[in-house]
Amino acid sequence: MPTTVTNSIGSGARDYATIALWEDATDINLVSADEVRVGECYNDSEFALGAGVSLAGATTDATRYRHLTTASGQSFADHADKLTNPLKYDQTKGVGLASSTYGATVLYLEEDYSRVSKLQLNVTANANIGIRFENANNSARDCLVDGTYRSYGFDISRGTCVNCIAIVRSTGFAVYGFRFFYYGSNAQKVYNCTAVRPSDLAGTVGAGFRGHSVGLTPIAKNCASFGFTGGAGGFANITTWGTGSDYNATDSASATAGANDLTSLTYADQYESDARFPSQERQRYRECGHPRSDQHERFRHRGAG
Amino acid sequence: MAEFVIRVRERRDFDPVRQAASLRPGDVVDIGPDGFDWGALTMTNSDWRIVKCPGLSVDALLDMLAVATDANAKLLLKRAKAFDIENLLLKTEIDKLGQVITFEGAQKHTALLALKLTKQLQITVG
Repeated sequence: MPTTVTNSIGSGARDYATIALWEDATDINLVSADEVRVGECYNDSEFALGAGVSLAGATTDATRYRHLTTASGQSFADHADKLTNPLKYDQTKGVGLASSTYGATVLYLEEDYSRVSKLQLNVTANANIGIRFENANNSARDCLVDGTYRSYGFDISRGTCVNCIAIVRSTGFAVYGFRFFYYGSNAQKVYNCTAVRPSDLAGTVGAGFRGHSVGLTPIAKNCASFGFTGGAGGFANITTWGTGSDYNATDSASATAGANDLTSLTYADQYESDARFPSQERQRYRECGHPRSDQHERFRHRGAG
Repeated sequence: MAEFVIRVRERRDFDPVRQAASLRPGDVVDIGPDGFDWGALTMTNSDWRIVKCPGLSVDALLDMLAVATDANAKLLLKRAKAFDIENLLLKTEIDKLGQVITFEGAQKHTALLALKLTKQLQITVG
């Protein structure tokens, strides 16, 4: 049975002040050490990541890996007002990671089995990427990437996103909430995820979920994509979606060709209160047969698969 | 107004293949402002030193955190640059074994910044 070693990360007299320090200290052979290494971020202050942090180099397997997350009560996902807080980047509501460095990938999951959860990211520079996955068993759960300018949310070569949200605020560049690339054969999986471009933004650009290479068959289930009808669309540039893709919803004309997909929905009708995303993130998915009226932030949504 | 943490030793059980991208001796782990609280475990990690440069701007060091990637933004190195820790200016201080090294004054800052090295990437094709 592996030993779980948890370290605190934050500027308030923690084990490590920054994520980069924790990453370098835990870049070890976790299999021979028989350890899971957990980095728990505290919301002492915003984590300014600049060039980003890469989880790469540690020897891992299915039971011994690295997990970057938040300490209990430190995430926007377990904030006391999580049911009413708007779903957008707001570091006052939980641990926040920010980068405004050109071309930086804020979190790069390169080694297999590494995972992140409960983090919110603010990416604001040209060619910024929020979270990138490289291997089959990389995953993100309950994460939010809020991107402005020419920034991407989730770049998935292989791996799984569950209960994640990408907010795309670009007004002039074709950027994407979730971008799939390199590997076919159902290598990318997104469950209960949302990509959204606020309806009050100018321009008609980008895509919610988009293939970036030929021959990909990503799986999208129970996902939503709104605000990209004037761009490439909610679910774009994939010829054949992976087995099990279904129950997706979008205001675009097509989704993943699942029998229970809902298309051409009215954006303004999908959110409670105001029509603009930052002020009304409680999405109504009654049409999708969801048991409750809202999807993200509740994080009580039914599990992946 | 900067200080930084630098790796000064190879990690235990270093694997040059698996950890080809990992931080090596001379790499900057992270940068902070003067007086930064680096955390309890940073103060006891013998693989690292904290280098204090009072008066030096953080901007003068930011390039030491840049990563090296390929054309598809795939990670090659976590740090594209390193400090030359074999140079006596740094080596002498590192060998003193204290966890904190201080370089004070513009002259020393200039000498330190002159020790920046850009790494040579070895790319295998085929």
